[in-house]
Amino acid sequence: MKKLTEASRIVFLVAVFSLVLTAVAPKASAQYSYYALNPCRVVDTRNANGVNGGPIMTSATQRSFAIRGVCGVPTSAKAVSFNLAVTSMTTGGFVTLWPSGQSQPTVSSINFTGTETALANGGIVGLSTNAQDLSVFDGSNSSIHIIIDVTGYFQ
Amino acid sequence: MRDFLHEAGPAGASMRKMPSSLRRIAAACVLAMAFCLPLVAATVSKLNDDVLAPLRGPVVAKRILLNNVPLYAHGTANIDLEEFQVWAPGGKVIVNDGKSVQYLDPPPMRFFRGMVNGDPESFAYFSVDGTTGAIYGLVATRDGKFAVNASRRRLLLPRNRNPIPDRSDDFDYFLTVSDDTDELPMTGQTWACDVEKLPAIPQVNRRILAEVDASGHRVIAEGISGTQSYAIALEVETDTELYVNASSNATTLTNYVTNLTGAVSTIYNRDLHTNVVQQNLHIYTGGTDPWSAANANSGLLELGDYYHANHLALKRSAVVMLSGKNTSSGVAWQGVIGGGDFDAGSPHFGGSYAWCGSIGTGGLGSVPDPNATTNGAQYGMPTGFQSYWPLTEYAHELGHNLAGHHTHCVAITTGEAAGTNHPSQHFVDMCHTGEIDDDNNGHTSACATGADFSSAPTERGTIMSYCHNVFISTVPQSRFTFGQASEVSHHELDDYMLRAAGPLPFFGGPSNIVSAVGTFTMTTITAASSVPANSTGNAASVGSSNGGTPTYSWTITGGTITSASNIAAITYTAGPSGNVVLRATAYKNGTNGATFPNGGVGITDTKTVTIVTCTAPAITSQPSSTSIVTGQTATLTVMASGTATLSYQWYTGTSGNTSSPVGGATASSVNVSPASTTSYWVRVTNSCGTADSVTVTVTVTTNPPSVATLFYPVTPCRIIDTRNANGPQGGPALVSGGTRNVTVAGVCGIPAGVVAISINVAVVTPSAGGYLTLFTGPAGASLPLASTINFETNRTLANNAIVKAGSDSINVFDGGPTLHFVIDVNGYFK
Repeated sequence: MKKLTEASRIVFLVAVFSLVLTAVAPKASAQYSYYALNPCRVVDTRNANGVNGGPIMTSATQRSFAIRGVCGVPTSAKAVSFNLAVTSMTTGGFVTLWPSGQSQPTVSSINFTGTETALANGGIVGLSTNAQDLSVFDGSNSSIHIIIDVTGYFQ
Repeated sequence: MRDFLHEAGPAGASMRKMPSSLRRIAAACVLAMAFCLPLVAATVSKLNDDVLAPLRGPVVAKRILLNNVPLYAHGTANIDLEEFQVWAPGGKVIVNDGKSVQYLDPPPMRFFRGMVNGDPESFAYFSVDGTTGAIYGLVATRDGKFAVNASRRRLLLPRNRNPIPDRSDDFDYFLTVSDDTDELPMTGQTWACDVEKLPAIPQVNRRILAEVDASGHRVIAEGISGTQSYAIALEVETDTELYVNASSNATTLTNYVTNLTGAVSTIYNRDLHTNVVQQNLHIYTGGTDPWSAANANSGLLELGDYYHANHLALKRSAVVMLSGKNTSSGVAWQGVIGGGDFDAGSPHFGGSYAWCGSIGTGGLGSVPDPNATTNGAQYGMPTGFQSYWPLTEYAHELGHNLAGHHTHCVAITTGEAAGTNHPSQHFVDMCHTGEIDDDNNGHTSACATGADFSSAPTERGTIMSYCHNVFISTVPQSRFTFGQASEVSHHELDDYMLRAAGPLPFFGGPSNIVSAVGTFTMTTITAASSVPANSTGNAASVGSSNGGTPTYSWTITGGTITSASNIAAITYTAGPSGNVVLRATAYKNGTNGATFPNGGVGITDTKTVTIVTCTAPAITSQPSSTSIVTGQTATLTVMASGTATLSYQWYTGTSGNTSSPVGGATASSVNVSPASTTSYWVRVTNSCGTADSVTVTVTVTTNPPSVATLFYPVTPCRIIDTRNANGPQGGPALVSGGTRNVTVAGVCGIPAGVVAISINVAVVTPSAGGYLTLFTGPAGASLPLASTINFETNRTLANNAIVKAGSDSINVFDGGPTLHFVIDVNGYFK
């Protein structure tokens, strides 16, 4: 088990907010305060190819994005509150967000059908200390675009 | 030897002549005059002198308008005329009476040419006798031909019995209207397709055509409407027989020939932008002349030999013989205008010579002829084809000198037909039923023969055809035109026009014998199929093989050639709209430096290039200044109109200063994250211009001190439901594209000064898909690029979010239809 700094605070928040918690936080190592941000788009795979841009996510693959250092999220942030939107899907499926460098947890951050144009869900997720600190998995049979807006961070 | 075409010519030279069938026509008519006459359907009516009176007055702005000329039984027409000259400056009437030669000034006449308004195929020619004031006229339209003839003087004798001085209104005028059938006397002649079929169109050498005076000085004539045109200066020869046909009256003959040349010039000016002027008119009144040949072919050689021997240095564009010998035919060298003499089979010489027979046989025809009679009745049209034969013959044979070959029964290629309104026509005139396959149905494969004219369309022939031998009912297939614009025949004559501006000298040397060279091939034109409007430096090229380096000649419509036009690869500037039509022709050089077509045939290709009209970019929505905190991203967006493809480049600095482009910022919308306050602008570019945006400023404020907050849960509580009555926590519905500021402090137990709230936001059966963006207050805060919930049509949906709450409020932006939303709060951060 890898050491995680995300902590019971997050677990607590998940419990309180009924948010979908995708961070794997089996161990409470610290407690963190919340710093609100005006919503800010940090990932959009519809944009030109780049670390936080395209290409489109392909079915059953994962990639990692760099959240800290963008949109006012400091490098010291341990978790972020986000809004995750999915579009361009042609089949139903799910997306999982978790701190990069960890095994993919058996959780989902959003579930969708193939008939929707776009669907969003809010949540909180922990961040690793890797440069690309957030992993995303496309759990559908479809290529999908994902958009992540951050609304605040914990540290 | 010259590469000329066929019909038995003497000594290896071949020539053009009117066909044997025409000779048969003439012979038949002489023998059966009584039969011919009823076909002449001429009507004569009196014409009020007032209609013609403007011709005696001054010319205003180069124009004279004859109003209400009763050309038609059912109405009148207006004729637009300009004054022009038939005689070259210094031209003379050279009268040889067998004992002496007199050089007389041309008769004092004024000449007018023009068209009937509204009839592009018409022409009108008038002359005013400067001595008597008598007016003669000839007007040809699609519907018929009209001759205006002066009657005898109506002498008004005062009581003292002395005639009063000339008065122009002392004339009666008679407008003689004939239908087409008097153009040729008989119907039903067998269409004899015994003439050439040419493998390709261009057949003429390059010549400069210019008018010269007797001293050899060039005069550039003005064409109709003041456009510059070309002029050909003629030596006009006659013979004793024509003098006899003119009642042995030199004045009658001079006036007749002058009017004939004037009418020819009117047609040439209209169709070929070429003035035909008389340099010298040679008349033989003493019963002897230099001409002993008995037929057209011999006459043509005799004419060339005589001028080569006696007038080698006499500058002229061509020599035209108007013979009164009843040969019923004419013949001319082809594509030789302005050129020197050449070996026509020793000891004969060819050159720019045309020979026209049967002029004035049986009396001068009306071109117009004031003395014409019909069956002894004055003022009528003369009999038979003499009305218009001389004009047809003169224009036709001179046309061989200029434009080359016949237009009937001539096969052309698809490329040559391109640009005409008959793009898949395979024959030029197609005046015979057997050749009619216009634009579909598989082309006829051969020149048709026989008498089946039953379904041929009318009005197909040109001056350069034999279609006047083809009758549809009683209407011959001929017109006094070289072909109208966009017709195949007219297209063909462009070749003459384009070469008229060529570099070769106007007058050839005394023995400029040229010879044909071997064959070669030319590639089709390589050029872009479309170019932007007004674009410069566009390329077009051709190549050749199988025979060395030919000489090229390019012409263009819809644009301007900006390079040399006699090279294989040119550049051109496109016009503002429509099409560019490129036309390339390749020739090879013959001996003596003269260009000569490839085995008698130049190779021509035409390519049409579409002009793409381009609109320069214009900014329709300027970017906006905005404010961010350190580390945040600002999105700058510009919207612009203009022809695709628009490209963008963002710069820092002041609009117009391109010294600091933003790397990678080449889209209409860019995200920037400057470390400090920075100005930006964008330049939008397409192929025909650029547009610069205003300067906008992204103000960067220091990231406010991070405020560590703690979470305070509240019992879920509805802080707004727009379905309720209007109010701070109620309606109205949020309109599409609108933003609602929602105060959170003091509601549901939320205290003032909270940093963020944790909420659940729901949309209620939205009428269309869309999204909401929840972001920090206060009211008026800029909308960030973000979304909080995405929804589908009629889908009531909710999502969780934590929303920063500046100034104790949040904003809700509606990126969907006008809708109702609900926000429930479940805690806050403070």
